[in-house]
Amino acid sequence: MSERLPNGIRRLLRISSVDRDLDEELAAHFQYTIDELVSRGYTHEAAQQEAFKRFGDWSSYRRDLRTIDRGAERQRRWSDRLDALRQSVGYAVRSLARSPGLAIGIILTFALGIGANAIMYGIVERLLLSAPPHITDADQVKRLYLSYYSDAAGKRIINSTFSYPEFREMRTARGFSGVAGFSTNDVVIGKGEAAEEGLSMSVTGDFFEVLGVKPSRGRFFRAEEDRIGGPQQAVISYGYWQRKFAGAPAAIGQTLDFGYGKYTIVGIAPRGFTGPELQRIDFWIPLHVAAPQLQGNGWQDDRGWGWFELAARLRPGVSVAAATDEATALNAAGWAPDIAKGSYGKDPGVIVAPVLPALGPLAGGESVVARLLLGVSLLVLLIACVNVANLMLARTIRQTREIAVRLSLGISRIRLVAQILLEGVLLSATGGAAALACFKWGGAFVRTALLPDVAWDDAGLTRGVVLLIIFVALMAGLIAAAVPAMRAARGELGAVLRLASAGGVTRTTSRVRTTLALLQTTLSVLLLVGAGLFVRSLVRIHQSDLGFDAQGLYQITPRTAADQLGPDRVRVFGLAAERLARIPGVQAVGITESYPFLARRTAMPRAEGVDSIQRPLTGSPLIQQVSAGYFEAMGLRILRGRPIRDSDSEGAPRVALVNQSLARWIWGEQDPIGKCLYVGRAETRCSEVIGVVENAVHSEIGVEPPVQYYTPVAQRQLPPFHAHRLFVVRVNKPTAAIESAMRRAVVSADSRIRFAQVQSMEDQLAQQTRSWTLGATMFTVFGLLALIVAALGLYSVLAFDVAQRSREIGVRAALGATRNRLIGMVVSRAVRVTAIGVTAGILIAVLSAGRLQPLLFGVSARDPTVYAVVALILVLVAAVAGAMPGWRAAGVDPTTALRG
Amino acid sequence: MNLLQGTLDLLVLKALVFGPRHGYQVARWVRDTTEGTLEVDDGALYTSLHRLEKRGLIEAEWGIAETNRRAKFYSLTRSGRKQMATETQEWARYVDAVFKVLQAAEAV
Repeated sequence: MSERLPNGIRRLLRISSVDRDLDEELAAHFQYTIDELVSRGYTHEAAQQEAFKRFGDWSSYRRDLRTIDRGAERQRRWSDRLDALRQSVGYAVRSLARSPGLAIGIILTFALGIGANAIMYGIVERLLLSAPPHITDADQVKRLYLSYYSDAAGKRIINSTFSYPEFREMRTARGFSGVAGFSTNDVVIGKGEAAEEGLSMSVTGDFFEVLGVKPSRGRFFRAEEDRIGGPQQAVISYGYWQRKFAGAPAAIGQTLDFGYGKYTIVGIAPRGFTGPELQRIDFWIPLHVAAPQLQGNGWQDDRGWGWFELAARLRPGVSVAAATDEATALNAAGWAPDIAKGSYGKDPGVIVAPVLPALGPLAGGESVVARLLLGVSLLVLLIACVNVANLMLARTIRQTREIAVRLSLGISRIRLVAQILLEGVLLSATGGAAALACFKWGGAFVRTALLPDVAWDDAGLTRGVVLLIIFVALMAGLIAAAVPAMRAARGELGAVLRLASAGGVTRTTSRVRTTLALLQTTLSVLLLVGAGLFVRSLVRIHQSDLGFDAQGLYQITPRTAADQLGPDRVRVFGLAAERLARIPGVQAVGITESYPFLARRTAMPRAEGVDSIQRPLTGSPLIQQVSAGYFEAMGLRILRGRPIRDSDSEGAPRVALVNQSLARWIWGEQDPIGKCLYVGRAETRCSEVIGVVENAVHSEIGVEPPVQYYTPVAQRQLPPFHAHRLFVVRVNKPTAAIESAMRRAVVSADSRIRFAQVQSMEDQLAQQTRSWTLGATMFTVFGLLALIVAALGLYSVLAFDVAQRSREIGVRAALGATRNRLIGMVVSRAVRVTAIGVTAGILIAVLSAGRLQPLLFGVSARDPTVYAVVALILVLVAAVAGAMPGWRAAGVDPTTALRG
Repeated sequence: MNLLQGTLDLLVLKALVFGPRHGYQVARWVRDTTEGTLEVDDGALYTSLHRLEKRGLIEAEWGIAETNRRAKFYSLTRSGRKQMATETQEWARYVDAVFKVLQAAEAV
């Protein structure tokens, strides 16, 4: 009887039964005592008194005894529960082991769902949630950004680089306990073929203190050592220490030859320390020591030259708002004279943002994509849960006989539900353990494949990831087991039993399984639509007209120590270009000062006969100084006029080429050839327009190509700077051999060239398009997985149905239904179910399209083609999933089926 | 003479060495054996019995006593037996030590 009582009531009864026991025991004791005393001649009253006297303080002893007994009872109950749990687990394991195929299927499904989530969460955690490693009180450390309103751009410009005078102002802010500057540079260590590249960060002396980092060995340089002409010291990363010195302590004291100076290693940063960003930095060097060597003149005085970034620590108790106000006031005061003259933007301000760039105002698309992928992996997990629910339900139905026996043997419904939930959690926990292995082996691969620039050193199994896996595994198990458990609780299984033994199954259970299959379809539609949209974006990008021809295009940058070439630059570049052109397979070589996705330089031109030129909507016009071979190497067509020739040399008449946009912008429909253009507002000498070049993408794919003009690099129409900066080379066929031949050709041109960086345009494009590639790959992989799982789910429902309804099918066959009709019956059911799921999925996708739109390229998030294709695929898959059980249905022999 | 709690527990364990007994029998045995030297409340004995049961040193079972009355019988568990053996030894050592001190001659 007590088995049926709810737990709470049973507990109350037990407590009072404990008390009753005690009272009975004590009553017996008094009875014995009194009996004995009476037998020794006491009167009944005297005996009673004596018994009480012997017992002592009745009420206090009784209270003590009760406390002890209740404690003992609680203890007992816990150990009973543990025993029950152990039994249940044992039972669950045995019962699962009886159908190992199913159990393994479920565990794998869970492992996949949980593992995908763990990996994605790990990425998002690293990118967005946790501070860069080793920073103390990271939420107090902020990154500063500059902003101002630009009339030219017609919007606020936000910028993360500060000039030295601006940095000095920030240092006076009382709201910060410290402001550190840092700037990253590519460095070359060693020389020639043996040279290698690294990433160094010039940092102010208080950098490590502001971040609150401690060295793992040696020391960091001191604040007072960071001064112009101070000692050349370097801190190396733990990774570089391991790579180059195999972790030997003797590394400290060694010197690193960066070309512009020899730096002595004084300390080793802690393992995984990357500074305020997640880049893989190899060296940290004092900024004031390195700047004169690296930056050239004016690094300290030019207010408009932003070349390093700032990290600041908030003084305790100072709010972000207060620090922002103070920093903004300081920056505005510094710019006041320029603003008055109109040579700086309006309304300057400082933004105090989290130290992680991904959380700041300039966050890139990758962080958005990472967030999106976390959402996608949650969808996958949901699909996995639904699938497992479906499989478990099928299993519970198959077990109805056994369950009925257990019910009739008196097992409570609650025990039964608990048993099913326990099985779910057991499966998902095993899946979680498998997911852990999946994370360990697959995570590193996925991380470096998706986001190769991030230093993942210490991003292994963090506590967050482990907690997530445990939590998700528990939840997934409970969710997946909830549906079968609910059915058991409602007692339908009891009813099912009678039918099941007769070979039938209730309609409701079948309906639930159908609904689950439908839900899977809906979820896979969402993923496949995402996949379709991203794949189309990617295709559009590759089809989009960049202007230049990316295939076979290389960019080669010679690296010297600072600008050691000086006035020899022109001659050395000429020599190197000649040598490059002689390499077999090289088609064209050009010299240029900037390059798509690398750098840009803007200058407002004037045109003779055109009074005032409105600034173009696409931003200030770009100017680029290039050599004769540039257009051919880039694959840019000259639409009218002629290209630059070698004869357009320093003394020759000034010439310029304009792109289509610039021609239209200044001269409209008029022919620009022969017009006179002034390069820059202040320029007085005229450059004759000799040709029109086709438009080309410069800094960003997907935006309208900028207004742009070109002048011969030899004529130096703009202040020289380093106009001879890099080569563009077109080759027949990109190979490793040609890459190293080109590197050798450039390095051999002059002994001061230490290294030549060779980069293919295809690599650059891959970097530019990574967020789309990421989205397309992940959505496609997950989408296909979801499709397979959904198809299997549908198949299992239908196959089960056919098996259960063989009698009905037999009747139909006996009544003359043809083979085709029987197959059609099952297939049409599959298609109907899928159609509902597809409709729901498309509806949800259309409604949430707005969120996806900013991540796409040249495709509407409501692109009808994508939706149609996805719907078609799903219906086809449903038809196939239905045809197989349909086939079996058609094969049912009426006589055997009817005989049962 | 009053008793320390640990000592009382030891006495109760000892009372059960000879076989299962109910509470009254334990009380009676203690009184008879000490011939009234030790004044132990029956209530304290029961507290000790229940505490020992909670600790798993003895176990209890309802049964019928020789008088045909229902009574709760206590018996030693395996760990109770072991506990008694060690505590008896310790007790003997303790008494021995105290006795030595009390018997000692004047300063050495």
